[in-house]
Amino acid sequence: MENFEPKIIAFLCNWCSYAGADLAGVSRFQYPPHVRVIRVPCSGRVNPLFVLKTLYEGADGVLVSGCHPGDCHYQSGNYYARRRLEVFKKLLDFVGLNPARFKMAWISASEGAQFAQLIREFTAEVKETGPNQEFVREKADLVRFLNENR
Amino acid sequence: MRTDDLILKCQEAFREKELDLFLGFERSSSGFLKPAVFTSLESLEKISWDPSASLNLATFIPRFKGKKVGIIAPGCVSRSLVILINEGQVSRDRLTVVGVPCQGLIERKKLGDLKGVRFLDSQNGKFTLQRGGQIVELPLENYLSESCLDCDHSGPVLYDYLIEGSSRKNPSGNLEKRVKALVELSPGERLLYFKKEAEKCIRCYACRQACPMCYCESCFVESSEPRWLQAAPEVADNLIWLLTRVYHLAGRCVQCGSCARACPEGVDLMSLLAWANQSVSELFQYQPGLEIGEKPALGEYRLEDPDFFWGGGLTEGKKCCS
Amino acid sequence: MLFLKLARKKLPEVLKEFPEYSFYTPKKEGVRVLLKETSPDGLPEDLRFERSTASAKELLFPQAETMFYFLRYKPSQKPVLDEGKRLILGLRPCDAHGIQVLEANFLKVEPVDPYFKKRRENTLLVTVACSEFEDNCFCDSLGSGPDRLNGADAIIYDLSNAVGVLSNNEIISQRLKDYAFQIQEVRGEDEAEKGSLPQRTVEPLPILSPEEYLSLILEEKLWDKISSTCLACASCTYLCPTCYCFDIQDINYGPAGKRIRTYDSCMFNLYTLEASGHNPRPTLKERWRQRFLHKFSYIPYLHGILGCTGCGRCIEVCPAGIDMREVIKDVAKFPR
Repeated sequence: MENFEPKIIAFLCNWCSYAGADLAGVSRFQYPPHVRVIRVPCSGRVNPLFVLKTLYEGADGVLVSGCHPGDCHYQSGNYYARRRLEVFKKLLDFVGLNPARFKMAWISASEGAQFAQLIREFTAEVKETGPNQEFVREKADLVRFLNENR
Repeated sequence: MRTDDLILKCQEAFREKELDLFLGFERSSSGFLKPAVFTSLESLEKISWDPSASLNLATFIPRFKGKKVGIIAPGCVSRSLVILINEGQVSRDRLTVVGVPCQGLIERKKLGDLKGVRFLDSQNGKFTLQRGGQIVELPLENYLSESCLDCDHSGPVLYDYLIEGSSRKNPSGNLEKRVKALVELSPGERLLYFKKEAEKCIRCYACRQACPMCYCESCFVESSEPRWLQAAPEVADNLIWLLTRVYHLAGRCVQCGSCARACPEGVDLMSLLAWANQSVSELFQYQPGLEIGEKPALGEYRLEDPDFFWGGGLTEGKKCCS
Repeated sequence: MLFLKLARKKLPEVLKEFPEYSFYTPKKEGVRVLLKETSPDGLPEDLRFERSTASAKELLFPQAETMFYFLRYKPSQKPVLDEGKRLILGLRPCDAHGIQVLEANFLKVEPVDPYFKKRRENTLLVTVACSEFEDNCFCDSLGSGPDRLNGADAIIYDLSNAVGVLSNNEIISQRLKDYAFQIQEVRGEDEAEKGSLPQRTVEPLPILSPEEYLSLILEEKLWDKISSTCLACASCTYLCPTCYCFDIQDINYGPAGKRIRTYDSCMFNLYTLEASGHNPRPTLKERWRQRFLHKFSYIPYLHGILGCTGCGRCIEVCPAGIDMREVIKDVAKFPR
């Protein structure tokens, strides 16, 4: 799909992944600008409804990233996240959501380069998949109204 | 199982355990069984149990908090009770369970046009209906609920009193096959299928209310801050409803089929629930409702859980899904 | 009102006299019977239609409708009205009774609901008198019957070798005049020839006065018992021809948005939950009581018609097997 620039939402845990993303920025590692970050205290905070709602509102890709197992700032939050999000990903795949749209990752605070690599990969995968038409809400009438009345 | 034995046993339980009420079924005007709350020994004369019942009685347990409750339970209901006990919704000493054998429950939607239909009797793998003036005998196997056809724990796993009788064996494996067939489709085809199912949903929440495990006092659909989905039954919102409810039941659903039978539109819930349970079972070797004292699967973790995250070392390169 | 007799085979032609109206009849689709747009040539010869799942509510008061669109900082909102003209043929007298109750609520009380008003104005409701009773219907027990006009725009009676159309709607009477072989001016609907009607031999249900029902409002035990096996899903309320409670939500999209109206149900525990957190109907018992009294006490008291049509849809769909007829009997038996 030409000229398609995906919108990617990333839920990054405050103590590791967010810091890792920050390190990527400070270190000037280049990665595509399509990702928009939402900081959460822990990957265990991520309610799978976040993923659904994000796709519903029109995001093309959703990323959840946390501390490596064993390194969670809250000891066990990422263990719960691992169980929950894996079951959830299997459910989303079963329903027919393109598996490329939802990714889970572990990024530590020192892994700036890996974060940039992750975003480069994920953005390419989502770009290839195309715009999200599967899970997005019906808003044609609202779009039309807005365009007619700007 | 003879109804007289059931009545006597339930009355015995009511008397000996000094129960406040007893949950069971009684005959409705169409001949099918409907749930009933019996509050006296005499009223228990009306209790009955046969394949024309439909709901999982455990769904009524949370509304009788603090009371001493008796309940008749085939396999699925007893497994639901185990989960309710494990999740702290009812204490074992407040429950008196009369275990009953089960040959499966009829899915009324399979009977087609219910005009002029009265349920009469069920025996030896057959059941009789009165249909437009004629008596018809039908094989149970062809009209059972999908969950019952696949049931592998049809006898009660938990009971204080037991009614002897044979329960259904030989799960048909139908549901498993159907799920497998769905997995073999491409993601696009699967999505089309589930979107069609989601279109049927009218958001009556009968599935949620019929499910013993949906006991939240405030369901996520009632949340206005944040509002997860809108009230109008549009496909995208219905999908959020269905997926989230199924997800909240992963590892907790005993596949009783109460939701599928309660759904007035015939939405395919069973394949989603079967897949969710299968995922939990494969990933974490966990079967819900078999042991008292077990913690729910998504409420605990093990250090060696399979890890499919990007950047994870354990199962690098392996894919979590097909 | 006019009573016109036409030859059976004239009906499809007659229907072509309404070109500006889209023509809808109940059609089976999977487990549901929905009102679908059809051509007048597809009319069943015997004029027997399946009972629709959702009654005329499907087209006159749908489950979700947009009220208006709005733009931030622009206060004026034009209501989004449904201008489509529809001729619905094949519903039953109980469905027409349901519409009467909706009219009482939406049109006869200020403020008048513009959405329902527009739809009702644009709709010609032509019912067909019932040839047989459904398993669960009991309109005859409520003093209504399978042959009543009940406020429909016209009702068709099957007179074996002809059809009789009773109508007090100008548009219908005018356009049918040329096709009828007999036209009669009647003062009341009982003067019309109705053909053979289904006869029932069951006892009519004991219906009390609105005041008698209201006197039971504080009887905890009665409502406890009735609601004890109710699941509190919304199946009955969504399908009930007279249920009209709705919820309003705003759906946003950037600076624009729309306000939608969707079905609410007294069975939901958010019903009457107030912003303070207080709920005057905190448990299912109070809500069940409200459902029953609304149909049998408040609506008859306020509007003079019974709030229950006796269609029996609630009995058919209830996953917990609750039978409204049994409830009516239990309530009447309760010592007052």
